[in-house]
Amino acid sequence: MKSFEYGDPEIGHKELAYSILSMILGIGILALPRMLAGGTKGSDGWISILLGGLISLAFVLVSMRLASRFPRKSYYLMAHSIVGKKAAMIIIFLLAVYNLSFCAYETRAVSVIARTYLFDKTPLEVIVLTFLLVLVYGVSGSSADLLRLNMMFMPVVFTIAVLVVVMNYGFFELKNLKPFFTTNVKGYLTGTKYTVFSYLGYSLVILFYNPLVRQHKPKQALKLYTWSMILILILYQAFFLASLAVFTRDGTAQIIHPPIELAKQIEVPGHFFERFESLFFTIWVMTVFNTAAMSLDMGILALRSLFKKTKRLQLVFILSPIIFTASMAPPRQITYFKAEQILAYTGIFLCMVIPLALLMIAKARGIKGDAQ
Amino acid sequence: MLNKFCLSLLSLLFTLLAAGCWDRVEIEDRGFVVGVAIDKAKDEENVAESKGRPKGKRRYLVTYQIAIPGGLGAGAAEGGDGTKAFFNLTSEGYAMMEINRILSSRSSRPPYMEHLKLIIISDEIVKETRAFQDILDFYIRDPEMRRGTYLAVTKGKAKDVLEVENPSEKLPVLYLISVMDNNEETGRMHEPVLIGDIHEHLLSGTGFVVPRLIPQKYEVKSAGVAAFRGHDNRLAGWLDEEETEGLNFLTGKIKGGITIAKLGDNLLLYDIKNIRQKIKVDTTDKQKLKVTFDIKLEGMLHETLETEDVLMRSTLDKIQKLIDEEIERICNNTIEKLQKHYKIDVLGIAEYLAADHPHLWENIKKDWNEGKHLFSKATIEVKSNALIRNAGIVNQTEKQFD
Repeated sequence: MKSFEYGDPEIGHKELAYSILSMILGIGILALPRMLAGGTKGSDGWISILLGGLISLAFVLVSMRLASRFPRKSYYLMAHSIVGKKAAMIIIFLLAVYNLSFCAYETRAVSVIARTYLFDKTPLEVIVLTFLLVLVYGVSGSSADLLRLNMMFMPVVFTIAVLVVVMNYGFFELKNLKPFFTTNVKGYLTGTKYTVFSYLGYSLVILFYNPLVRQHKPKQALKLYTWSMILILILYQAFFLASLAVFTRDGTAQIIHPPIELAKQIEVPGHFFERFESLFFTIWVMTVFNTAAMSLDMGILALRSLFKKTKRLQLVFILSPIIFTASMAPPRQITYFKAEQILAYTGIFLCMVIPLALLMIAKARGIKGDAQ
Repeated sequence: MLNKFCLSLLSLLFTLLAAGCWDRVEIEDRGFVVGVAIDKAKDEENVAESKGRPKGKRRYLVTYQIAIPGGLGAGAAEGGDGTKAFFNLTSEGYAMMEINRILSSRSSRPPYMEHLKLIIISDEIVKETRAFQDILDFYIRDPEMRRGTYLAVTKGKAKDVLEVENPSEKLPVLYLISVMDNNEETGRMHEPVLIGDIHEHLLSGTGFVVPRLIPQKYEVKSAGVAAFRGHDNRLAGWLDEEETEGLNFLTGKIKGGITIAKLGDNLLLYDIKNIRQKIKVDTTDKQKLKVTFDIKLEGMLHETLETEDVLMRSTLDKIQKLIDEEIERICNNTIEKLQKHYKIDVLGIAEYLAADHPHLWENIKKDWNEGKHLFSKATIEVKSNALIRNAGIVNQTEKQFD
């Protein structure tokens, strides 16, 4: 099969910054306000979001440091030169499994929500299959193309997301945000944990797409990556505070997906049949597509660095039935909530602990990749 | 060559797949439910159902008002092509969803709830403990529903309200919605209450109010409110129009309207333009809180039946004082009714305490509306401060010659 090849297989830090944004924005943002409102009192959840954001930012720096030590090297080669072949193979294999399961989880989640709100009668399998087919098409090209797609989607996504919050202004009751600072320490920590969970993914993007980066400019990278983390932080805060202001804390804690309800709340005046949530669903499916496609792509990159002779398309066709089966595996919603938890905790280990450990070992042993 | 032909045939076949859609419903086949009326079903013995079938606590009589988009056409004059813009469907059952499906078996247009605008509940049901929650669960939980749906309570049959045809609107529900939105014109009407708001009250257990609709032959009056106890969501009682006005003053929700005060042996009318309300609570005695409502009003003098020189400072001061006294009288009536008769706080004091005195509230919230009835024991004071911005475009309309 011939496919169109875009001329430039390399990317800059800007593409990567956009990709960090799209990787983080996904399923997490829909449930985060509920999780935070459940654990904290008043509007205190904003502190948890801030803490979670700062912790994640610190780990972005860790991954960035690690990546810039090894310009043009794949994650496998980095790990290889730091901890040796066997350990590197185990790490990369685990990451491949994690990425692919994450892709399966995102596919399932987007299909369940689409089924709940949009397709009442369409079988879940069909929605999953459709989404998966688009994913397969998305990852059939090169990784750089996928990252460029993020750049195209992100401005649209952000505009609509901000509009959803702004257009709810009429429903805001600012007194719902009171009282301040009445949560206990445990509440703040649980909230921070949930925020950290919903941030996961940035280190994978930075490390797996390292070989594509044209030229490492640490200062520029630092600035751009920090900005993408700050934008996410603002978006999380905006959705959380808007949910509280509109639904009260008690309400937010009981609504499964507060951002969707915020979007449903908006009625564009003048039209009997005009509704805003269709736009919100569109952009939300776009970001979930970005996230899932990148997970699948990174899973493929990981497997290809282990099995060097396989071709990309071969892997795509082998993996897609497996992902389909995996995403249809949990029979009930609570089972897949369980899967979500397992993914979150392994995510902490794979996306935060391992890069930190690798960086520390590399520093201690003074290992550096060959500069060009 | 053959290969290419096969490929193009295959891709053509795939387009057939792309056109498939499970959820396709033509707009003509959708029954757009715009309003729902919920009554208590009368004779429970006549229900022909098998013995083992699980029964709910109550049986409801539910009426759907379904809009016919064709009859709503903007160009068509009133009943232009003779089609009515709506029809009402009624059925009975133990649960809302059950009734929804029963109605599907009787209508060519299965009910579609995304455009539901108004839910009207008869007071006969909500007098029962926790009936309110039982009814609303479906309307809050189902993904087709919106939290912006209006809610109203009516004395007597809710079904009658959906049958009132007013010449100004084609759909009774749209007429009702427009009437309920008129709270900017009069303070004797409560602002619309949405099921999202009610969900929040049901979760926090605070008392709440729902507007009352009174059906007449060709019109419906939106007047007064029904006050509910938050902890068991039962109807506590009604507030009439003046008491509702007091409630609006106290909660700062008045958007406009007039206050009539007596000036000399005649009347004067104060047109309210703006309100700022503040609650202050003195918490020194935790068993007997002192609550002060500080109400600042801004408005105009639009009608005065007594001739006075309204450009004089002393006259304005005198009039302002009269208005203040009248507003305080109205508010105190409302407070007395709520404290003494219904023993339920719908004034927002509970919300204020939860927000500004969270520790105190944690301790007393169980005893606020029930238990020790701390709300009824609290001293509530109202301080009104009405400002006359402007006294109309003339000073005097007639001269007094005496």
